Amino acid sequence: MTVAYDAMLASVTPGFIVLVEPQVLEPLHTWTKEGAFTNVYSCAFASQVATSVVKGGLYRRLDFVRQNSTGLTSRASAALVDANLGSYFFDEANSKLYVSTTTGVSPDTFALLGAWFTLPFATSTPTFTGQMLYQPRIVGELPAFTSARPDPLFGDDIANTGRVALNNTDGLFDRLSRQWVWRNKKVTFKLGGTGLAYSDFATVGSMRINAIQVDDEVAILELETIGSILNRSIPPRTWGDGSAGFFISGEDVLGQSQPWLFGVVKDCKLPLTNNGVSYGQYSTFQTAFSSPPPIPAVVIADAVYAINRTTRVRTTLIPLTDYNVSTSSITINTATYVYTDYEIWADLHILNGPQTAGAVLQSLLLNCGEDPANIDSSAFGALDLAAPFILGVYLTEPVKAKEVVRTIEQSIFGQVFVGGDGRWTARLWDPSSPAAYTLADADFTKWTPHEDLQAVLNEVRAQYDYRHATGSASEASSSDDVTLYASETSDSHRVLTYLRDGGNAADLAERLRFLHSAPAALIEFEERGLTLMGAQVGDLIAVTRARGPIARTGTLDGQIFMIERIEKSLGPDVPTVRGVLNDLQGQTDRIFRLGPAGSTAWSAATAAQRAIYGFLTDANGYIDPTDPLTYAGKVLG
Amino acid sequence: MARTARFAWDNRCWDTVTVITASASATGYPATGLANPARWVFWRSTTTTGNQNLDFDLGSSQSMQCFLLNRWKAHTGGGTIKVQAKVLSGDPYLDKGTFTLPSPNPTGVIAIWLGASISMRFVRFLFTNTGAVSDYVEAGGAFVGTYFQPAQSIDRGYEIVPVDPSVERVAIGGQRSAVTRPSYFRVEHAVLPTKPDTDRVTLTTMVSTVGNRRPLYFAIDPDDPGYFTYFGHFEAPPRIAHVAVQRWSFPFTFVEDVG
Repeated sequence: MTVAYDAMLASVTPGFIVLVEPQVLEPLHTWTKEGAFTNVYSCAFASQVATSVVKGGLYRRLDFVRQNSTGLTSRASAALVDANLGSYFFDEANSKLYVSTTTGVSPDTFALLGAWFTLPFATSTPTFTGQMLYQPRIVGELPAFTSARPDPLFGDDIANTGRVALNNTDGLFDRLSRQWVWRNKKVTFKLGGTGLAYSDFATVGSMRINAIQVDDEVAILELETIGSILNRSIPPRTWGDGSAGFFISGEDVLGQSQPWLFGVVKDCKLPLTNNGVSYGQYSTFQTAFSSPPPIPAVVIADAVYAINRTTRVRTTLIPLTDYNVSTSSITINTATYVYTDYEIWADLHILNGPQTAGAVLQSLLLNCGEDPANIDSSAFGALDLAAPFILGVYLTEPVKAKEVVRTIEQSIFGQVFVGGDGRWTARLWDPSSPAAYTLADADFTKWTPHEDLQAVLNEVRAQYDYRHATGSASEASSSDDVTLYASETSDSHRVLTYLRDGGNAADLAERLRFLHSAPAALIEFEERGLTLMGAQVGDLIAVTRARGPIARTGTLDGQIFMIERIEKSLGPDVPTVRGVLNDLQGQTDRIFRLGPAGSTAWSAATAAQRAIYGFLTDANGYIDPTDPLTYAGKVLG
Repeated sequence: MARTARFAWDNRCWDTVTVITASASATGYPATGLANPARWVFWRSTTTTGNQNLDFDLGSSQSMQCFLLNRWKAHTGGGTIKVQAKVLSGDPYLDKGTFTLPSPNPTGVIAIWLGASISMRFVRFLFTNTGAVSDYVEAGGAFVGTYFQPAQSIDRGYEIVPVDPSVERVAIGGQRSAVTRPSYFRVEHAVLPTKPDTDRVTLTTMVSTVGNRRPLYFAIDPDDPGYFTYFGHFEAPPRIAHVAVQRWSFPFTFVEDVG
């Protein structure tokens, strides 16, 4: 966000303007071969359209041209288009589009040659320079962008809903609604204000057009969530689906998923893919999805085992004596362990491939088809620095990618989400971090309890070192008798992780138990302003209020709340932000972060310092011996 | 202050035969937009240090007695806006007046009222750049045509009401902020008594043409367009109220259009 944008949000008289930018498609036809060039064809394409319907027409900004699903390259002249197949040049002054297809033949030979362009609409006329005229046709309906966490700590659910209503009293959309392709095209929403430059406007979100409905007064864009690329099912390939280079003769693997491996996993049951080679050939190859970069294909077996199908006795095999290894398979070369009598397991690790959380998450996104430009790789790199332990992920059954992501989030106490700039990003969730935003009494038009049944846990068990072949895992646990006796009930929760180390799992169990050892104070709020318009679920807010659910003081002096749910509504009246805040699962007054050097003692500390910094207790566990509410002190989150 | 109000409602710029061109237009802001009555569709020139002009070819010589602009922007550094006109395309343009550019200008309107009607085919709005500053100019809602000045002006008692549709946001503790929205004026309780009866005919024709849908210029005081000439519409088509034999009154409410 720019300085001017932040200043507008902080203003007591902001003049909000919402920009609505649908990106629509026009299929192009009526091509003329340009005689002066070898490969160039042209068609009429005007920027100012519908001039016969509406005086002055509507301006559209050409974004790109595609031949079927292939994007053509923009060039600066028709001559360059001729010299570089698969290009286009837009002569805007003469309303002419020059194109050379990827093969040099006429565009008519392709199913689609289309122009994608952006239309400019706004809730009020902005005073931009160097931008097209944004027509103030928004007549009321605008969507809301909502994201929430079903569990306060992990997982994002996105539920963007809404419509956009555009003024159609002049009939502008009567024909355009049918001449252009609107369905499945993106609409971008930006927020700014009077006097701001276009570059100061912040992107609030994007949605997809499901349909356009037109009557004599309005044109309605029915919108839906773009949808997460993580809804894709992985692994994507199955044995016998035509993947190149495999002869599938093992009947028991036909139709089964070709596994994906990240990190290090023990006791992986290897798929028998060729029973016609020696005494059985087992694949260790990883097949990527469609787009680069693929998952590294090379998987190394650190140890190989033969499991007798009848007795279930495990035997460690000897390389070269019992089996041979290639880059894509393990072949049993002794009849002793023929496939009819034995399963083959192996301890596997991926060679030069993703092993840590950040790297694995990036690889998942890319292999689900995400554009690398839409991934903040530095954030994922930082995640690996903060959580450097190697994970073990072995996928052999179809599962939605987002479920794998959730488990990784849960394993490292992390969060994966689409940031305000529209890129995938990741972070470790640290409740002791400095707050991203600060709100006070004057910022809330609503502050009411949010009803929600909650569980309080006295025990959490974190599973780690999962063994694929047996379905077994080790467990680390954390329990607390105080919670058990105070709650007069025992509630336990088991968490599956991709962790491999017992110490990491024990730390995770301890943190999860602590953060579920008390009921959360959930607050439904609505902002007077739009400070949180750029906030994300999971962001931390420092709240100051004359009253608040704090045992020690009954006031909020900057204690930290987490955004559990946020709804950013762009209309119909004014943009608003509302949602649900969570007091760090009831622990906001206990979680601290280290204070600056030379911090004062508790007795001299201000209310705000006591709210967020850590303080040592006495031998009896009291920060302030005269105040029983300071018993058990502060914890580092 | 002038004694009688004026209505400029029959705009030659909006005729279908009128051809609108400009010396140069910024991308997305063509001169043809001035054929659109919407106040938010306007022309913007390219950024230059020279003069810029907006030209209207009315198709044939037309009567005109006033020239108005709303949403205008002159060159910074002392630029002026003139009106020039001619009958034949080969003729030189002749000055017909220079707009007074008020500051501030709450209504966004500037006007030139001629003493007598003239008949011209070609009209030019010339934006001079006396300071040679690299800048762009803008114009919206250009009007070329005649005006109607009733024999009797508006009765006493009308109110100019500023309307601010800004939305208040109030915190639990009472702290308030406001989401600013463009404000505009309403002229309420305006009553136009008509005498002679010919005024009734003209007013009825005007009302039939514009209704409450087509914008027009309403000058309470033509000598002070910056504050007393509005570009807007009738909130409802004015009623024709019979007062006495051959005496009628037109009560109306006029609402300024937002740009």
